[in-house]
Amino acid sequence: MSRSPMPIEDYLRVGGDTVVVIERAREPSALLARIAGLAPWLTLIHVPDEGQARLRAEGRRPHGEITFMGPVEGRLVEVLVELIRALSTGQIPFDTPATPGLLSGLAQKRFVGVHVTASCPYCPTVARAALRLALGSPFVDVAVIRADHAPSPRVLATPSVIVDGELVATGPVGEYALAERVVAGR
Amino acid sequence: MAAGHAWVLNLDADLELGARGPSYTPAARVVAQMGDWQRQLAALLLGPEDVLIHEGREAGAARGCIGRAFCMTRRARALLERAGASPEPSPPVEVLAQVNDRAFAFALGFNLPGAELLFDAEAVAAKLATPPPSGFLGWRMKRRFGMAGRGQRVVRGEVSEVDVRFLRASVEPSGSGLVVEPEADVEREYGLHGYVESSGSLRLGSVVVQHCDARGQWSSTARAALEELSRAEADQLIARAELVAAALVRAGYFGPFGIDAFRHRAAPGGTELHSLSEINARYSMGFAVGFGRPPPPRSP
Repeated sequence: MSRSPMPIEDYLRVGGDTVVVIERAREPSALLARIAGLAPWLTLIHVPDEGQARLRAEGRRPHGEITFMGPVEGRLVEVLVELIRALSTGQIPFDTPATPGLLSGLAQKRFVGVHVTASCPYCPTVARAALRLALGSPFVDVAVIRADHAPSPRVLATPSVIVDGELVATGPVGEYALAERVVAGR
Repeated sequence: MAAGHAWVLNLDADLELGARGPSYTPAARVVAQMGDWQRQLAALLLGPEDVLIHEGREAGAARGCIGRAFCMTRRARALLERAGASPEPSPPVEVLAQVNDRAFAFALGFNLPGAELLFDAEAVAAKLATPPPSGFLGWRMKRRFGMAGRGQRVVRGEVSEVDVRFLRASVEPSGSGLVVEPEADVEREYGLHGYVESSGSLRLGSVVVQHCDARGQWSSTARAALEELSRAEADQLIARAELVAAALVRAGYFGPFGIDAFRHRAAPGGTELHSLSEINARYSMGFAVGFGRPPPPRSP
């Protein structure tokens, strides 16, 4: 049976903590302004910047650093919306109940780069999974990187996941498998 | 409108915001303390055609000018209006009081270990009787509003009668409260200034080094040299300033602001950066050094 999609205004109509999104870009994003209009708990800060657009999301700590490098558009919009909702409610929609336990073993910072494009069909799932790890552990920093805006010689396909400089996944990867690779480190 | 702008450099704004009752008049010693700093600040903030407004200026001295203040308190607004200037748009005084209250910065949660906001004299006394966290020298009591190191007292070891009088005067009878935090062995003080619009648009200046005397009074500000902070530390200061800007916007504030930070000696033998020791939701002495000239005032 197919589910009808929930309208974004209903999805974001939650009572929760303040979330801050800091956008560095030449101009403020109209899309972010529209999202903020639907989520009174969201505060937007825009810092004029001629460099590559990037965005940082902050909720009630602890969580890891969360960054989007390059414009958030296409299929990445739903990733961002799910992220800010989770930051506000504190409810992390883990796929696997065992994931938080696995993350609790981390004692050192891991930097996870998820290389994506705005149109790739598998990228949102992998980006979401990585972001849940950052939401679940202050030791996991995640950057969702637009491969078409910041090409890396290591990235030949999207999605690709690089943990502390090592390519650990290309293509679809499940949340728990990703968590295992992040915890294992280099 | 005239070409220049009218400025009130009410450096005692924090005392006015923290004063109880509708009227505030600075004590003679506060006026004396401000004079020299006002001259230094005027040289940094005011443009060549700007006019400095103070109690001694004749009524109508800035007729036709847009008025701007160090902090647009009721007293600053009254001075500008008496001078014939039209004060630029500014947040309500209630918002200024809220965001310049140390309780506002405290609530953001970037506090030193063991820091507490306390409203009861007995609770403060009990706190002072406990040893500070490892690496700290004692306890510092900070009233919720104060300028240039005023309204603060450090306790190292035994609590004296003077300490008790200070804490009782701070929390009784109206219970405005005290922030009690561990006294750090400060090596270097930093600042970062910005200007935030109500839309959330933010501009940040450069990190500055602030020099203060033993009483915590400002003496000078200079841009921080590249080697002062690691890249990660500078990023941490910027991230703090961005979050402070977001909190200010959320509270209804817009305008200039600054954050203070410091590096302190920590056990064993190292140093740590405390990235948010104060929020100043107004101009400050070092504002123009790190940020440059403020944006032109908006028409009322």
